[in-house]
Amino acid sequence: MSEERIIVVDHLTKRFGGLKAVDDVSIHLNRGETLGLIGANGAGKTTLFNMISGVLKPTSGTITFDGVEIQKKKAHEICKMGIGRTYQIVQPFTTLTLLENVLAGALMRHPRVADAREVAEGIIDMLGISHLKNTKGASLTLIQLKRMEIARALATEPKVLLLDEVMAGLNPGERVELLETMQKIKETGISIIIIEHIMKVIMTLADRAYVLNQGCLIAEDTPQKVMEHPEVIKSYIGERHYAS
Amino acid sequence: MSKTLLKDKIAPKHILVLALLVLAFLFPQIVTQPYFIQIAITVLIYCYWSSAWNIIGGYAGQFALGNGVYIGIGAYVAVLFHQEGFGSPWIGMVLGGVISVMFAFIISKPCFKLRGTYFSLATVAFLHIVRYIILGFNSIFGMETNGGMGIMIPYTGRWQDMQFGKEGFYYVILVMLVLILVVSNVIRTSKMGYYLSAIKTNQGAASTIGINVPKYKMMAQCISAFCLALGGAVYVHFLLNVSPYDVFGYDLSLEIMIYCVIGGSGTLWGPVFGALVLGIINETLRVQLGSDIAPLASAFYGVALILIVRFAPGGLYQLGQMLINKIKGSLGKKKSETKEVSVQ
Ligand SMILES: Nc1ncnc2c1ncn2[C@@H]1O[C@H](COP(=O)(O)OP(=O)(O)OP(=O)(O)O)[C@@H](O)[C@H]1O
Ligand SMILES: [Mg+2]
Repeated sequence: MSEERIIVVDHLTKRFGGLKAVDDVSIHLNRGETLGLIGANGAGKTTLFNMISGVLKPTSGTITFDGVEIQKKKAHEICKMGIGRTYQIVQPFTTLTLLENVLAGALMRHPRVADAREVAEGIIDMLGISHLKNTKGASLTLIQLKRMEIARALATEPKVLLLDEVMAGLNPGERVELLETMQKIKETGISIIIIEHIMKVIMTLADRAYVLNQGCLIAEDTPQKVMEHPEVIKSYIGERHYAS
Repeated sequence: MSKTLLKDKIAPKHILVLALLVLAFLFPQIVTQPYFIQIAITVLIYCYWSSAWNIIGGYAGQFALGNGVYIGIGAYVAVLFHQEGFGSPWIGMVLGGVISVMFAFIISKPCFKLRGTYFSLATVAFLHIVRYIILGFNSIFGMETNGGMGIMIPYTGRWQDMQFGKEGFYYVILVMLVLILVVSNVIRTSKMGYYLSAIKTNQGAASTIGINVPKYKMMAQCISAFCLALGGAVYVHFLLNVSPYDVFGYDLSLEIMIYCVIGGSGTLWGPVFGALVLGIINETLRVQLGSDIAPLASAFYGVALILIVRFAPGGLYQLGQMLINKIKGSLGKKKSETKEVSVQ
């Protein structure tokens, strides 16, 4: 049973000065599973992603990926091992074109530029952004950047994909489009963790969900059951204006 | 960094480059006055150094302000190697390059932990430290360096001693310039080039797509240092003397950087363009007005730099390119078919 757990987060804590942004959190991701991670603003979701992807080092606790402890590894090493991510606040390479942004991601596993270009073109095709390939990162719109970030992460050929609020800031039409894209990605069999405030996304895609509140894990269940959790109702009704 | 869409066809820019190259090789045959060749050599070496600085300062976007230190190290090692009877300055030149890389490695390791301005300042500090060491001692490890007096290189005129007359130097430095442009182009269009561009614009995102950021910055810095050192070794043999005020001077480091930035840092031709335009102006004024222009030149650079950084961060080269594209756009209106993709 434990070998099907591709990521195991064990008693993970991150302090920022006096603040415990992530407080003794233990979660796991099964191979091939899509996991939802929800919680109010400031719950510690992004901080958890930052630790899993090596951007931040935890204060204490361990993160195991494919049986190897990674909490002390550098971000580029973790990427090489097979964890890809997007950023809640998009982080494009502004002077590169969309294709070059994705190509840069593909170079890790395909060091020849021509090969990486081919891989990148296949991915942006799948995400429906081929027509933008020569547009510079600085000139892309938010939804285009969000797709670019997904494409760039996929180009590193990850076993686990971490998606941080890819829906935020998009209009309803764009959300429907992107949801379809995410469905396609899920069907490739990759393991995914999704942070999302839009419940429809979690309900549609996630096999299981965790709820964080002020750094602490407060619930774990199927998306439907999690929605009925009192804390979730409380925080999401309170935030409806934000969530939809 | 985009490639032309019609990459297999010979573009006008290839013809332009070829023409430029032929012109550069014929120059000493057409213009034979030593005065002009002298200026040409100086301008060429600045083109070379600016291109070398461009690898770390332009492609990798790390403002290594004190990188002129590697010019000095290359120069001193090559001269001392010969003076102390170890062998030809050619071997000394390569050794100077290797020693520069070693220094670049040791110095940059802690410096790359610093970002932006602090990194720049750390490289400047290293330059000053090395200059004061050279100025403060008359001999180093038993080798005569004569402090501030510097070292005179006895004239022999033999190529083994890296001496070949003005025309010879012109061609040697021209070949070095061509080589560094080839190296830059290989870097630019390879994995390393894409990685450096990524690092330049967003280090955080770069590391999460698997880029070992410190490693690639270090590679850029070491290649840059090696090339700067080779240039230093050759140039002082042209001058027949090596002085710490020149090769370890802050001015030299600044000039190289300014030529590159004004010409267009991070582009292949920008540094050459900048050094050509500013170098020719500078050298002509220096010869016409004497050394009085030094402060004037600094003021001029200051103003030019502010204007470029503010209004044309891509430098003169990209400014020119934009103009050409504009003219093309207004001439032929069938731009829908041949979409010009900028080729940096
Ligand atoms: N680098 C940092 N330094 C100090 N405090 C931080 C840092 N990063 C996050 N925090 C704090 O940690 C807490 C958790 O932040 P985090 O970004 O992980 O929340 P989140 O669940 O992703 O919220 P959101 O839904 O708004 O994205 C917040 O109180 C935040 O202010
Ligand atoms: Mg967040």
